[in-house]
Amino acid sequence: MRHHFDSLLDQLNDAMIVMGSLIESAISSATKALVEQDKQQALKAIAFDQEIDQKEKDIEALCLKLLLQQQPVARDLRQISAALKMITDMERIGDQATDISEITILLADTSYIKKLEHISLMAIETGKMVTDAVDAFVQNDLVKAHGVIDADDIVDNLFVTVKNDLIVLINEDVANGSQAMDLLMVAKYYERIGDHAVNIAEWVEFSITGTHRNSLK
Amino acid sequence: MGRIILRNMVLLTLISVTITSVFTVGAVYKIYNDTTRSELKADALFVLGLIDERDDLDQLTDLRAIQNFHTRITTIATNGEVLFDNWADHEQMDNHLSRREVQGALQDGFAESFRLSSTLGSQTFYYAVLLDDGTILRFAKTTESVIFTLYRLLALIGLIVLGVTLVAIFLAGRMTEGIMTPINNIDLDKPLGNDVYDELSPLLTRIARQNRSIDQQLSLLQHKQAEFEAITSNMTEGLIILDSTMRMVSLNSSALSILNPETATAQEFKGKSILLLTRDMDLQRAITKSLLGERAEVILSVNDKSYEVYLNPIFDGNSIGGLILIFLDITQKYEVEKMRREFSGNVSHELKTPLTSISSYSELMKNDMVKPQDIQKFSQHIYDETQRMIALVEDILQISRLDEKVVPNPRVSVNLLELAKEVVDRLEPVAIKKDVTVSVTGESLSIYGDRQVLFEMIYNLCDNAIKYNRSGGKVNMDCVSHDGKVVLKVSDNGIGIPKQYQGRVFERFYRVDTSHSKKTGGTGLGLSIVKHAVKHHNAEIKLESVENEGTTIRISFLAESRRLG
Repeated sequence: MRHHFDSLLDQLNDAMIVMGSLIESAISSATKALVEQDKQQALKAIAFDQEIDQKEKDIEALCLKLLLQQQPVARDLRQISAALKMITDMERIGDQATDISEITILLADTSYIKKLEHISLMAIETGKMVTDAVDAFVQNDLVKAHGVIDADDIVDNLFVTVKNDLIVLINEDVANGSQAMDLLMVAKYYERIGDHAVNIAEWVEFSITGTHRNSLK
Repeated sequence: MGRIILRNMVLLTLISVTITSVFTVGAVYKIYNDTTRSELKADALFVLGLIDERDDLDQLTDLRAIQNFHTRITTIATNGEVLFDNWADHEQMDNHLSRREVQGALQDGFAESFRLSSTLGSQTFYYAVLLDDGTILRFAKTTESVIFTLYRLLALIGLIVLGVTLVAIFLAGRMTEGIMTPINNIDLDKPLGNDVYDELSPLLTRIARQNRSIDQQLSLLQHKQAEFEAITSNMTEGLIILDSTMRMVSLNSSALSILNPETATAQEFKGKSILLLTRDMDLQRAITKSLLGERAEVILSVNDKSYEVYLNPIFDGNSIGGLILIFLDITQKYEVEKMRREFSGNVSHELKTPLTSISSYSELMKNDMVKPQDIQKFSQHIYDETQRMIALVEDILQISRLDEKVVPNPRVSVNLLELAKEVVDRLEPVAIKKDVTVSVTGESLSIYGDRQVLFEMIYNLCDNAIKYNRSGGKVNMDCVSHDGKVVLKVSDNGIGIPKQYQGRVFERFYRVDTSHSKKTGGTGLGLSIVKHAVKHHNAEIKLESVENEGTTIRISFLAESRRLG
């Protein structure tokens, strides 16, 4: 019985890693598409979303099956409930990557009104956060999880910088307005991805220590 | 074993006790019966004797006196009527004519008979005698029957069986222990060194034989395993064997250092999912595909390096038992391909530039658009460009020859000092034009090598030292022996090479300052040729340079190149 349970837990772990790799790939494709104005890459990032959604459903079903049939306790229960919460955030990240790619396709044929230096930085930073969050889950690494939670400030600050830059650009020429809005959206999406990565890291922390940051003490 | 022995012993006990009881009772019973019968006869004879003596039938009434006589005596008339009985009232008794002993006595004068009572509990012996007066005298004695005797003995027999069974249990335990202890103490590693029951020696021999073959197989397996590990751990290609659930059955150290250089040992990843090592989507897809039975190839990029991964399914009957993954480093192949592409691009570009000038100058001349006094100047341009092209093509040829490693020239003893002097002679006009003094110093040392290639090498080094120099500069070539090596040092006090470009100057067509090079007329291949020549002679090259102060290049030829030194 226990053996069966263990193999199901392993299966869950593997599925989580696969979903993690899917969102990593989606983000890196979306970022590459945005920087190189590459429509093909953008479409690839959008294609990942379906797979991510499917994986979310699979994992959800597996978690419920584990909870109902095996009645896990203690650490196992934490791991499964953390997984259930994490996939929601992961699925949202997949959606954000799709949203970014849709804007990329929209802007692909026009040149950007400004160099994407800060947005690129945001993309790199959030990509790293997501990778680290998944790594933290895979390796049960508390230090990495904390690293992700701390890195959120960098992304938030970058978002403010991008916003201010865009305001300046709109003030210079109102014609910049439409693209500035789109770029602001892109920046916001990256900022949200960062937040979701933090959520994942917090659930990893919960799965390891048994306490969640937002819980009442 | 103990149970079987006990069972057999109890069974044996039961059987023997039963048989013994039955036969003993039977035998005793027979003796007892015989005794009874002879006693009966003796009593009969005694009574008959008494009757004979008295010769008086009335005396029979006296027989009543012996009412308590241990033998029952009955007198029966010839018609069967009971006349007298010393134990019972004869008037109550029925006619005895049909009795066997009475019938026998009537016929033969006397008879014996034997009857079991209706309850089978007792038996009676009879002895009847026909007296002279026609009456029959019958004697009877009643004893217990054999069945009753047995019945009475049953409790005793049961007790005996119980006692014997208890003894049997105890003995069986002792026996089992006694038999098993030596067997349990057999040293199975050395089965033939044991001194136990002879009956076991065929078994021990067989065990010995099996031990030997197990040892052989084990050492064979260990050898195979060691061989496999030696091969896999020493190969530079990464090797991972996966089972059907993507867990790693085996992985070698190269695979680990390719996928995760930070972690220490391959051992801790054994049995874990490959997803812990890499989450590359393309590889995951390829694995999923391969687990359905298809071979697959995928390019994996990790840390700026490219690997080609071959995935081969392992078939276990009809199902797929796992996958073999082989990682090949193709970074270098990629780089070389990139370099080739760049080289051909560069060559075309370098050749196109002079050709364009030649073409436009000659077109102008053809169309008569050049004043006659300018023709001289134009021809000079065309000449210069063709010279540049010739130099370039020569350099390219040289470098291609070195690239292909088909240098037809034989290896001979070459005196480096003389060669350097020859180069200086050849370059003298250039040096004078640039106002640079060139000197050659050092010992007269020879190495073993390709004279043509070495000449090109020194020529290019010296040429560079003169070209990238200031007016009034100095170039020195020094030939010394150092640590058993022959070192050629070419130093100048020219413009030097900035630090950040020093790593790249040996690349083909690389120029530190393109505008300056145009003036000096270099092809951008000089140092590249030098690098190849150095490689061709298994020598080492070292570059030291400080911007605006000068450059020193040292080439050390290894000792084995000095065969005729």
